[in-house]
Amino acid sequence: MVMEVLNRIISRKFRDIAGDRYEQIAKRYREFLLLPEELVLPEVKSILFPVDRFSLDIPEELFETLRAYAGASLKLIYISEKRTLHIIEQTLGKEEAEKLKAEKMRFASETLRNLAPGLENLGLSVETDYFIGSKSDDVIELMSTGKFDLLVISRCFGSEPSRTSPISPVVFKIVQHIDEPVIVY
Amino acid sequence: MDPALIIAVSVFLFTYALIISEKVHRTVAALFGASIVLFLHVVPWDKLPAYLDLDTLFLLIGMMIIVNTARESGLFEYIAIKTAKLARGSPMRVLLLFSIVTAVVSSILDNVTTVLLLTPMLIYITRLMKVDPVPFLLSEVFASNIGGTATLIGDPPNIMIGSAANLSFNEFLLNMGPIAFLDLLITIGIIYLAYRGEIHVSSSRRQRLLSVIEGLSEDEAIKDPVLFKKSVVVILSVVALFFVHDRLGIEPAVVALSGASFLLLWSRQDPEGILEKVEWTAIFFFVGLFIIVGSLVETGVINDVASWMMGYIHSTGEAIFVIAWFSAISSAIVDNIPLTATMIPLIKAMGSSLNTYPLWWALSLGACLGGNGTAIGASANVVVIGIAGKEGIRITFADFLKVGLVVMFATVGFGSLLLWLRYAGV
Repeated sequence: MVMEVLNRIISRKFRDIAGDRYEQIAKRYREFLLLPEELVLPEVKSILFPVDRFSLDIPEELFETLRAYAGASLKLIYISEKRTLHIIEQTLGKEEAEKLKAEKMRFASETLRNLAPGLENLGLSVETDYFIGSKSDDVIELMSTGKFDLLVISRCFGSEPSRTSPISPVVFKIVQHIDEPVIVY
Repeated sequence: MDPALIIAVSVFLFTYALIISEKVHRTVAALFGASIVLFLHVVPWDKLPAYLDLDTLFLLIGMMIIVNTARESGLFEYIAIKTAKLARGSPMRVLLLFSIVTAVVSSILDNVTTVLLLTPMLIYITRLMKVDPVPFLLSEVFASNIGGTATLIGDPPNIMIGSAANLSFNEFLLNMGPIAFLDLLITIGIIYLAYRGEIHVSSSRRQRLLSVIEGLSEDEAIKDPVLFKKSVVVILSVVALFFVHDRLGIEPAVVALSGASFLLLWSRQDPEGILEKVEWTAIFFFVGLFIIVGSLVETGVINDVASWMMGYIHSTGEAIFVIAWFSAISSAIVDNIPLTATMIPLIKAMGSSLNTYPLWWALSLGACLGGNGTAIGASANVVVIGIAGKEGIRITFADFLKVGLVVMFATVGFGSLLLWLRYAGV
């Protein structure tokens, strides 16, 4: 009990004395101090690649980058935001929502059908999926399963970019919550 | 009883309690206490300049400006990489060299900055060696506090003592330098004995470590080569001036301020950015404490306590031990800055019946080395433990206490014995 209080005092004193100086110094050291294991590039065997209607403009450079992972498996998923369908259902009724859902499913399957061959040509084993869910939470959850070594995501995933926000808030949230490497294109 | 005396003692005790509890920032506690004694005229406004020790304040500000300007150049990262390379992959050499470099840098610059800049490198090397980082970090902490004891500018208590007793840089170096040097050797010996099983790596790992360390470029750490050279020139010039300041008849604070202003002028660094990084909270902590202790002097409390103590202390030899051990044990629990601020007028008041010259060294010894006793005894301890925690290395209060108390008793015991032999022994 006493030791716990003393350890808490140490933490508080550290904040008072060092402030944010340590973070600045540690950042500076990180620029040139790497452990041997940190110098080794992580092996990528499986990739998660979520897309939506905002993120279909895929640059050629991304295909070139993904070519480096030939032999890996890639899960290409299309996610429709469930909150949008919920709002439609609340405002226009269930029938309209169902119509929109069907339209979205058709668009998603067509999109995945168009994208998959290009990725397969890179030597990747592609699996596709489509579902309605939360774009941020579902991607975070999928990455947290440990089944994927790399996330490939458009900076426009979830919303159109703006001049003030070049990365969509959805992508921003995702990269903050996962530990695996990410390619943001 | 005089109401002013009651207010002064109450404010002093309340402020001390707040500082120990860490419930509020120590600067806020000190400034709040100071504002009460000023508001209630316990310390008259016109007497304020007499209690504010400008030598201490300006010496601290000057050195902080120099350190913050030099930091921008990458000088300290350069020193850390150079030290790592010199160790050549040997854990014993890492222990020795980092302790020595920390002690030397701490004797010139403030301990917190020194450990903030050297600890990440030390943790990196211990990770490469795959050894327990705790003995290396503890050795660094103790070395920092011991190094700070060696010079007038090494630790805030020494700056305060030097200013109050008008002691020169050379007097500090001659009296405290040898004690600090021998205490450093004793400390490294204690660390080695306590952790000798853990300070070992296989020859194959040592070879791998060597190749990684050799791959580091100290030149890469230098962010601004021109500023780097200018910083080195100014720091060396300032240290050289400290050696002769008494012969030139200038105060140490003037040396530090001159060095700081010259470096700002020469380097063309943005003064706003540099001055922003001065630890104003520490400076105002001193301001608050000087006023609170001033209230004790003003109301006669210090004289009364000194007279009471003189009833029990009969010789300089006794006084050396009492002051060294009282300061050491108190510093292990309380911040050594308020302790020193309180002890200074007390020792001055003892001057009527004792030779106070050796007592200043006893105070320096106790106030600086007592901090090694516990994890909260000195700012450097807290900073290293905090950094270690952030890097996933747990050093608990109890872990620190086990080694810290041994180091404190050994170094203060040895130091006070040397002082006694020199100034009071037969």
